[in-house]
Amino acid sequence: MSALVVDALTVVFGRFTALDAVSLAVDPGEVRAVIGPNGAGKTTLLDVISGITKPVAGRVTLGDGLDLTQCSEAAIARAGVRRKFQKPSVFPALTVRENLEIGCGPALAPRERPARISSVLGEIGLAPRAAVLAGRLAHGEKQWLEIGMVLAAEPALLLLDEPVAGLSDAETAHTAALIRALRRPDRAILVIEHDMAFVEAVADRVTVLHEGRTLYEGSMRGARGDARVIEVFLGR
Amino acid sequence: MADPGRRAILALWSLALACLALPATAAPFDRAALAAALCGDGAAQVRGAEGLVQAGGALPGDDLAFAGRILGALAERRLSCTAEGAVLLDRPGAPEGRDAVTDAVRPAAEARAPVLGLRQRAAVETARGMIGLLTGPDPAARAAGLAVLERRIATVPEAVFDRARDAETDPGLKSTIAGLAQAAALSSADPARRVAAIGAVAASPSGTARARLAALKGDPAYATDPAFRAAVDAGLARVGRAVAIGDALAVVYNGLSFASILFMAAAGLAIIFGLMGVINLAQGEFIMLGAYATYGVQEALRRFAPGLLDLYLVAAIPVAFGAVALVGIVVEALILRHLYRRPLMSLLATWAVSLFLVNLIRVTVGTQNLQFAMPAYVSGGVPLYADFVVTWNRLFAIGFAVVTLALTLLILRRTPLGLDIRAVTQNRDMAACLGLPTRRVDRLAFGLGSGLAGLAGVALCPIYSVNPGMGSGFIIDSFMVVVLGGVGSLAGTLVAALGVGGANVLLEPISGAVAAKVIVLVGIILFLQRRPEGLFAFRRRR
Repeated sequence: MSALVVDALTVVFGRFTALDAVSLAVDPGEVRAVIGPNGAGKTTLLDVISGITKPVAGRVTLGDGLDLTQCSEAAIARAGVRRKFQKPSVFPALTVRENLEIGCGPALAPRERPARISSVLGEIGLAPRAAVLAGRLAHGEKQWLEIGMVLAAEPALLLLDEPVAGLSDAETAHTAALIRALRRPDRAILVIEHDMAFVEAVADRVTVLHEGRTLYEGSMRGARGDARVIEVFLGR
Repeated sequence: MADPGRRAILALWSLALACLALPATAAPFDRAALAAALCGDGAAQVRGAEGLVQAGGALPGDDLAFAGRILGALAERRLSCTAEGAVLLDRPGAPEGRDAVTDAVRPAAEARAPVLGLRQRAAVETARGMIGLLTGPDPAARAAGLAVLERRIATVPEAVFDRARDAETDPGLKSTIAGLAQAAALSSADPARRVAAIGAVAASPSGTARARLAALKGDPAYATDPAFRAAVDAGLARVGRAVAIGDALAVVYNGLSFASILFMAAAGLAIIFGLMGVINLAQGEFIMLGAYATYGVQEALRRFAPGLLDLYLVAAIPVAFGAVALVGIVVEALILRHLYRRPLMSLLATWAVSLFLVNLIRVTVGTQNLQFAMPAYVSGGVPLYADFVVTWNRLFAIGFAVVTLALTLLILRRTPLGLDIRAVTQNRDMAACLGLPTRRVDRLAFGLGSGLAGLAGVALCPIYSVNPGMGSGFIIDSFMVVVLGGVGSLAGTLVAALGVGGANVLLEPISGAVAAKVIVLVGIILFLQRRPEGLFAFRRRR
């Protein structure tokens, strides 16, 4: 059974078709990367999954059969879907620890929060910075904090929107290691990214989107050899 | 055999001691002469009473008691003058009474009852006040006598105050008498004592002391005696400086108490505005509701537990907070919930709510000012320096605001609700994505903000008049405080409340209340042009 099934999803903004009958299925424990040039519809796909945008047609179902297109943002979050936005969207006036506490979500009992927060702080390597205001963190640290925030809720489906955009090489390597460490049999991870080296490092399979349609689905190695993908990315 | 001799020596010694104890200048008091004077014409009455006051410091207690009886009878029209002398009656117009001097029963049917003119009454009152001060059985009676003397201090010899001070047992009254003794010494005949008294009066400065010293400028000695003149000028300068400092302290204190009320009103407004972007124009009416809830608690206690009436302000704290928070939550659920992200609509809607509440109270309770009982802990105060009195009612408001600030900070910084409020205030969309129940947070925060307005209503009951229209006076000021402080920042709200409250109180005596408001408003406009985000704003995404 798949962790996430996107079935013939179509999203239209005015006369612009952002997604045109896109389908994909993500297995539990899989890290799936969605790549594609600008305007391919990658972020729109995440918007639909997290409930920000409503599609005109198609369904998005979680593993247990919940149709996400019928749910509010908060209900989707409660169902175990967490999204890390492209820009680091931490709460700048809260401390790292408070950000993670918000990230735990309302479902977690207050007694269990300190243990969960300290384990996440260890995973993302920000334990020494726990009392710092998030607004004062470096860009890379903010990205990791945000990954920690989505992680704190123990999500079944993790959506990562360009997690290494604007990071240095060292920070990118650190983030890749972090995401590989997040793989668990009961958790699916969907990554949107431009950085091919990063995608190759973290993804089990890739989906290539182009102008709202699925162009290719399979291994990264296969994508590099696929003629249509090369044409789209190299502009031939 | 030695016994009779020793007894004789002892007797002689006692006699000598008794003679020494009596002031050498005191002639034996002539009771009959006093009675005759009081039965005489107006001038004789004044002479008699004033003579009594002049001699008062040295008279024995029984003579004073005698004078008190006859003066009391005269003031109450129970004195009757016959050819044989004055007769004291039990009641005005009684057919017989007792002779003032001999205490023998005598008829008074044909006698004349002397009437006091204004001038005579003043002299008689002063004399009675002196007797009350010197012979009053309890501190209250002596304090009443002292109050009479204080009004005519220039006519009372300092010996009277010295004697009263030495005999006084009540420490508070004793120090008051001592202060008046100094003031009395200002008109002493001895120039050295006058100069000393000027120094002593200047040492405990107040507006009264300044007036007393300033009166000495009209004294003949001011023109002729350079030492006296220098002493008066130095004393006046010293008192003037101290009174100015005391007045400045009083302005700061009043500003602080006004700022406390403003802060409590604005804190709720800041939380609501910061969280939901709703400008709650009904916040002033929420304050008014808090004050009316306090009144309700007072009346309930008066009815069901009169012994606890003094505690009504304390009992009203949870009631006002809960009641107004409930009103706020109802308003949010019925009206504002549908108007989020439409600031103009929510502004108009809350204005409508404010009009509704004002008129609802007008119809159900009435338009008159409410009467509040003033328990001991909010009436009176302690004089601290010069004319600066720390009044309990304002201290109550200040203390109340400090506790409210601490509790609000505690809620915002240390509770899950506070964390949720801060998160939603900073980034509503993301908080929703993370699964925060933003609707519930909105409702609870609106309740918290409204409840704070209710608390402001409790705090201002002992200071301001409470009526249905009182809220409109606060909404403008508290909204200015919120905008000036920076939206969503409690620290900014605090600083801005202190600034606006202080500026208002500081400017009022200089420019008048209306002009003070204008100046403060212009100041805020200029400030916001330079710094539109307010004093303390954090960056945020919307």
